[in-house]
Amino acid sequence: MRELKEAKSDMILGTCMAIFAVLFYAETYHFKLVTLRNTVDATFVPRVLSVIVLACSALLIWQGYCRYRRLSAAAVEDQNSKKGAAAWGRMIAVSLVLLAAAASFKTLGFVLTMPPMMLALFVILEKPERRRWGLYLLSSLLAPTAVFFIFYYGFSTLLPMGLLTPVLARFL
Amino acid sequence: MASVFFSSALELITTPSYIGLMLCFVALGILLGALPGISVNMSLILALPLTYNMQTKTAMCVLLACYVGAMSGGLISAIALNIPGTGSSIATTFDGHPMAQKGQAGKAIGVGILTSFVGGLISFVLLMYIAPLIADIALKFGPWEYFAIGLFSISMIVSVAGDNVVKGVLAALLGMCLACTGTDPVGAVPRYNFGLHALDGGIKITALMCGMFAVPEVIKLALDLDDQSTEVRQLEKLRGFGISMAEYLSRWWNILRSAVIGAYVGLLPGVGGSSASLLAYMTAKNQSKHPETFGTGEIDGLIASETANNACIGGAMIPMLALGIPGSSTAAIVLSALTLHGVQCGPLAFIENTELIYSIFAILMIANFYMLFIERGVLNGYLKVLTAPRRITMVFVMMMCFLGSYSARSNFADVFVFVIGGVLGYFLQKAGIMRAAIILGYILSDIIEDNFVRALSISRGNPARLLKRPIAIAFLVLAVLSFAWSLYKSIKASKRKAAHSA
Repeated sequence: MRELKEAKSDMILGTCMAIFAVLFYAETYHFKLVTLRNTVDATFVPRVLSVIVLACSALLIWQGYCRYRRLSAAAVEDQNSKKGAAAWGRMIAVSLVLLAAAASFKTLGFVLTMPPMMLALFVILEKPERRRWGLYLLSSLLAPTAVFFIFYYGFSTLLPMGLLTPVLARFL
Repeated sequence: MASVFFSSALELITTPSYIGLMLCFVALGILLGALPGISVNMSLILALPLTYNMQTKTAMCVLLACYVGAMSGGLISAIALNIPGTGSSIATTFDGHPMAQKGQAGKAIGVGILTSFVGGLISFVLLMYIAPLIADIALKFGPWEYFAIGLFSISMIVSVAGDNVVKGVLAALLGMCLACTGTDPVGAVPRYNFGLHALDGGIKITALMCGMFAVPEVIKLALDLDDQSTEVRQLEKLRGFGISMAEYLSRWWNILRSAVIGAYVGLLPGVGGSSASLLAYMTAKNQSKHPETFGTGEIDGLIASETANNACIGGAMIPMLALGIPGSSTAAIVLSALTLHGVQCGPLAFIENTELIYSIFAILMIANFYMLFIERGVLNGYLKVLTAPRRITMVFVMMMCFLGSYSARSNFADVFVFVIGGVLGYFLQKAGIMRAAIILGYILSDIIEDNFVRALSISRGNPARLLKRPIAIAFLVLAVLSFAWSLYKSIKASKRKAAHSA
């Protein structure tokens, strides 16, 4: 069963990489080229890479297909190995939390973005009965603030202040 | 030469201000290096402004102490969290983290510390006495040689990337494709920036590495809330370095060979610690009687990687001091600090600034001793921190990764690279693509493309000039052999799998 899944995954990976290679190659036509003497231009290496990636992807799809054909006849669907919808939901939640933090990093700044991100991650990564809210709240509030000031006073590095600029500027 | 070195060393170990400064900055370097997201380069960039008003020798004490500390500190996060602090720690994760998962975190870190120290020491001694000779050989390396060594390193990546050689090649090529983002090395033509100026400078390696290694770990924790297998278990206090002297010394050939590889690769401008540790790791694997144990917590793999990446420190100093060419981006920061203090590096530096040059060797050597004592001193305390629940520590790691991704060049786009690279890294890992191979492909891409374009330009567009470069040909032959060997192993493994499932 594991091998069958691997074969399927190889075919999917090969297809994705092949699409990537074609797009990667196509994009080279949009480069604004400059004339160079005695050497290759900016499209040369990307084009060589895309051709090799495409060839390897085709090989991977072929390998996966051969294995799939050989194994699929004997295989029985294993329901236990499937991850639940809740698990995938948590995975999507982690990705969305990180994306939201990245998107608001410039506007909100380090000190305001990190606490909700950390709190959300603490909650997602732990079972409801094991959650320690006090610890989560305290550490997600204190750690980013402490890191902000350590970097400012210790290393003369100013992290993004965002909305808190007028407030934090008083302390700096 | 020796007298200048010893008088400098004596001054460094008897002057309280030097002792205090070096101890503080080695400790700071270890702390920064151990934090995921803070690379060696960033540690030096953070320390650099502190040296503006210092005298040259004092500034060198601060920077080099931080350099040695951070280089070694990177092994802690690589082993404990499976997140390499720097590119040169990637090979450390191959066997270091499996050891930690087996409950040998203390032993892995202890051996890592000891072997970092030994690697550094061997390289400093080697380089002090044979630097001029090595510099002569390095001078024979032109763009064709660097291009060939880049391809050779790619073939090495393919061979460590698992049983499926196609996936290994794809991983390395994907890394190289990602490195094409930004501007091309000769005509400065913008590539793959999709109209976003934030991508003009390319994708930052720190952000990509943090994403590819840290985010998948968090996603894995989220997928299975009952999974405790990733927790680091180390309850007993570690005695010594976790390895007996006899056991350690029985690996003397691996240690010496890895140190020589590290020192030599460090010497080659631009190649750096990631190639050095990978080459040393692969050599150790190929020469081992049990190559199948590599990647499952084999101590020889850890020794090879850590010895080589610390041996690189001394190597990178030679082209910087003797030729004025920085051997790595980290050496470039040290070089800029020297220039800032009015010291001109190059062939004349050994005549005009003899004392300072040998002081640099002495500083590196002494910082290496401080690193050993400090890191060993705090090891048991650190092991207690490691036993903290991973679900909590990983959240702090995420915060540090955000910080590290952004502050490497104060670019908000890097934060997106971190997140998107991380999610992509999870799916690629799930599909059997080795993330380390992507990162190494990314690092090597610049070496390969820059030098290929330059070599072709020097050869007036005639690639046949390569045939007149024996060193380059030797590396290309080695690359082909290494690739053929990987292919042979891959075919053998797939036949074995097919027979097993039949």
